[in-house]
Amino acid sequence: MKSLANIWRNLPLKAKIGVGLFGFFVLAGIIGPMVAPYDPSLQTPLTMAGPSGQHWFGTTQEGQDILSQVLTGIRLTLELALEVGVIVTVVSVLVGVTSAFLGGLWDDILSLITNVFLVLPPLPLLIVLLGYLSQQGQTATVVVLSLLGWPWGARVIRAQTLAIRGRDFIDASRETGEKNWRIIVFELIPNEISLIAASFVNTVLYAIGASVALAFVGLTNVNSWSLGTILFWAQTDSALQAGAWWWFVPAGLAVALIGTSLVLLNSGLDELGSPRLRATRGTAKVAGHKIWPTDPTPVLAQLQSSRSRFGSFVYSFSRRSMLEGNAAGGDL
Amino acid sequence: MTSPGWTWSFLSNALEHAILPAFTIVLTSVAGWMLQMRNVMITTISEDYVIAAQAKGLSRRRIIFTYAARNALLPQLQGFGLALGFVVSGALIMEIVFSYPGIGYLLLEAVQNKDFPLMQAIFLVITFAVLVANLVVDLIIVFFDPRARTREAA
Amino acid sequence: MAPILEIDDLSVAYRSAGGDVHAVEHVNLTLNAGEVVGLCGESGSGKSTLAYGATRLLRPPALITSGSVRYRGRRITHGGDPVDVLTMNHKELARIRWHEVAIVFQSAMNALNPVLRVQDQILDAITAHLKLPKHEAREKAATLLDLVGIPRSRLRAFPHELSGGMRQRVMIAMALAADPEVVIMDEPTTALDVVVQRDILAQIVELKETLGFSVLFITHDLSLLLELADRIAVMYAGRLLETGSASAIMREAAHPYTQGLLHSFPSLHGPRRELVGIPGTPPDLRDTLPGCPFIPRCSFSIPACTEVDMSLAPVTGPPGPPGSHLTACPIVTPEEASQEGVLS
Repeated sequence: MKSLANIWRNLPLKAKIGVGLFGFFVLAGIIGPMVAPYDPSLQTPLTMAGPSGQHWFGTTQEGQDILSQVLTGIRLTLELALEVGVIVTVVSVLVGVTSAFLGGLWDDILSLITNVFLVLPPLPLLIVLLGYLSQQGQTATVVVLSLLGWPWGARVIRAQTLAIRGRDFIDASRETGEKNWRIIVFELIPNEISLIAASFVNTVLYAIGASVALAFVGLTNVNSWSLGTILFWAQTDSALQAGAWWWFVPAGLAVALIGTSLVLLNSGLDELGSPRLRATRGTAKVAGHKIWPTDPTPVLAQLQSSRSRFGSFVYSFSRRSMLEGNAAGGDL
Repeated sequence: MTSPGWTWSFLSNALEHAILPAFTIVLTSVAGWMLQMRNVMITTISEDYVIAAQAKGLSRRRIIFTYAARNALLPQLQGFGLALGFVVSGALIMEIVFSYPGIGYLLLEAVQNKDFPLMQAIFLVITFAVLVANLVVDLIIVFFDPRARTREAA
Repeated sequence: MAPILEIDDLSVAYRSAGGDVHAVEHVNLTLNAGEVVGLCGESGSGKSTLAYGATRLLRPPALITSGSVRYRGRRITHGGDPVDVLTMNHKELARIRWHEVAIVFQSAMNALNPVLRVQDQILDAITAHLKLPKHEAREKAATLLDLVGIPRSRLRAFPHELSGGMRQRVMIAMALAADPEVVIMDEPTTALDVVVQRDILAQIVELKETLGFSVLFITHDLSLLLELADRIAVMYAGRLLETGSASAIMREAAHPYTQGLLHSFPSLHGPRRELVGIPGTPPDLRDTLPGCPFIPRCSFSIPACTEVDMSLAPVTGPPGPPGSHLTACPIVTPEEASQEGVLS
């Protein structure tokens, strides 16, 4: 628990915003359908109506309540994306770690499979596969997305595992006779946690984008209310031309915000995993001044003199100036 | 409506209609590349040869472009190869939204009409284009990174 | 003769949320024209930080907290007052870097740009400071390679195509490209085998005689400095413990740490003896304990050691002119005459 609190404290602001935003959507996904005022498929005579007290987000051409649709959609989209994320992460870690750790023929075979899948362009393949598959439910989408998403993570994890594998502590574990799988689970993977986490977040991001794209094109079940389906119906019923902005804006905004929150989250993870990124983060603050990495090393005396008289006076009361040994009140 | 062909009227028409979708794609993709380049640059700037370049008293421009950026580009180029391949596979969503009759749109229609021969042909073309793009990028990488030139000989 | 480079009371700290790491504490060091000063210390003693701090090449969160670095090269001062490197702005620094003070980095593989040919990197150094027409600059680059003993055909090579020794020679050639007055060498031969090391050191000495620059040679290898340097300064935990001529230090090292260093490598002549290391580990630079940082590992320490202010005082006794062999150890300098700490 303490390390979690530590991690939270060290996260940059943008990552905290990302976590908060994503948490909000997860919450919305959990309780959404339960608090939705109407059944999303329920058709009412109040068609193409703008936002009102009765329908916060307005209605569609069939008079369906958009708020309920969006709430249901968030849950469905998140469910799908998280499922894909978990499957892909498990598969890519398995493949990546195994191929790097075992090496030799295994490595060659698994790398070949990975590379083949990597080169295939995903969207056309998705379209074709879904076209072939008779059943177009959620499961099919999850399967197809997972099938196409795992090579990326596998390649990155393999590269990282290769780098770690060469390090001494792995050899030391081998010498003491630890079984291979124990080494993998207890020594190797803990060192790659941040990479795996980043890969997971990236996969979820990709799954959201791809599933919305597929739904928008009409290749998934158009009767289940995911966020992409809402946009599909908005497109089909010419919402844009009719000026019914309330139809596609909430759904589109939800997708954009979920995506943004994931990206922000990922940037925080990036900096957690790579100490150099954390340490530099572009400009650094030294003695209260912003210093670029390529600036000459700052000299304390010069920094202090660049403060105005009033600034120095105010600064002299700060705790930091006390640490530097200056009397309060400064030179006055 | 001009008929397809290698005529200027057709090509200019296609280009004219491509401006908006192209602009949308660029707008949404640029940020990702920028962030990645920034991250790689941060790592590259702390390399010893950049410090050496500073110690040599070179102009800031020279340090940033010839010493830092040229090295930071190399990992980016790998991703560029894959991205190039995907560009050829058609920005499907853009084509639908803007009603641009590109290859992605064609593939979608083929799937909806269960036109299997057409699907196979399109897929072949796309895969071929991806492989060619990867080859081109591999050559570019060899041009930019002298270390890649001798690796095969080693 | 006034020294060409005078580091006066320099302190460098790394600022972090957990407090300052005092990498260099109040160090005085002078370099006279045409001499070789060796800076000796173990890893983490602050010797490289001192050199890079003096040329302001350290990256954030490094901060120079005190002192001045005065340079008296004729080209800049024209016989007038010395300039302080620490007060210079970006432009002035760019002029003084390389043209006046050049650096030979430790790892040549990392310090050379992997995508540029050797010729281009040397030309960069030349054209940044000397206004030479293109063909003259190219000829100068070729001459530099001749100076360090590399065939001219290597001009168009990339760094990864050269051997370790060749790369280090290229670094030296590059350092001399703008005719500097001072060359700082940061462990230039540590990563090389002894045979190549000897060649390169011989080359350095020869170049120094021919071109007449001063050298600040940083290394952990005291035995090397005893042969190479005119004067030696010993650093530990960011502080200067002892300075003196090479012969003075070799014959009667004053500080227990220096004595420990001298006893830790075998001599080629003389009877075989057991090698004695220095027990213990270097201190954490975050908390500066009072007095001498070597106390925990020193077998001679007395209670007064915690109260010494680490300023250098002359060692009593023969040889050498008075005031040339200085140390911060209170045991050897019972007369703690406070002085300037400036070597003459």
